[in-house]
Amino acid sequence: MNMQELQAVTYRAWENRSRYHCAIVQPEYFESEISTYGDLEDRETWEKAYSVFQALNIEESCLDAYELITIQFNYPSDHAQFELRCRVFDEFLALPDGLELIKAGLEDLFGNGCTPEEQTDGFFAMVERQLRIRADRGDAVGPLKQLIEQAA
Amino acid sequence: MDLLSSSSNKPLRQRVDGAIIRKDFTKAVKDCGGDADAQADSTVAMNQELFDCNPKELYQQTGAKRNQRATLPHEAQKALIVGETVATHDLKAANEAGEFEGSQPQVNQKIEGKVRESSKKVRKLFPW
Repeated sequence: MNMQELQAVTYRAWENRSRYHCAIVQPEYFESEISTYGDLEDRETWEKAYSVFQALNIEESCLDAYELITIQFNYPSDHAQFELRCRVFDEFLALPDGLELIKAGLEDLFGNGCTPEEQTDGFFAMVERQLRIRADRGDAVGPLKQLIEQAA
Repeated sequence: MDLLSSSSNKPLRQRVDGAIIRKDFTKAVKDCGGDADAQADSTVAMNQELFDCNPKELYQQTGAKRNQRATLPHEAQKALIVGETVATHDLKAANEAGEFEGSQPQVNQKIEGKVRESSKKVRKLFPW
């Protein structure tokens, strides 16, 4: 995704923060809000802002928790947006309900020894990547790892 | 559609519930070319048209257990079942008519628009 495309999807994610609440979108505040995440010239700023907005949008749009596993965080590792989606996943896990929602989704799918009809490889690839990054950073991997082991 | 198929190799059938209808709906969104964002936007659009709030707010305002659809009030579950059924049929018809063309964001917006339209029709059937 080039910078222009990243800015476009970030705008859409930001706009959805208002649309998801039936609020009026005020484009004049867009850039000033993005600048709270860093320099507007840096790609990192846009990726961070996009990930934060998108994580919140996914949380608010979630009707059935298992779709977090089968749709929202189920991007194959060769997907063009896999890396960016991993960042969204990271932000999602940082939300107060994030981990609980993932847990609920896994229980929906794998509870009572069920095997889901849908492919979930993308989700587990994302989790593996997340665990690697957290281990490298020295962050706690406990709760996430525990969840995945339970599902397996 | 051939509902009364006389074929000898009958498909395996099961009782249709909210989960099956939801899966049909998300499959229809995907078949129309919608990505994960289209799924999220369409879900929010339907909830806004049916209940004037987004899914998170629906759970909060009805005191239901977060993301466990079975804990929503029955009337809300019924409205979602009708909404998703109508939207699934409308999406399939529009897809057959070639309505979902363009870039990914354009396709997503067209899908959301179609789902919103279907949900508006459904809202009129319910007393609130």
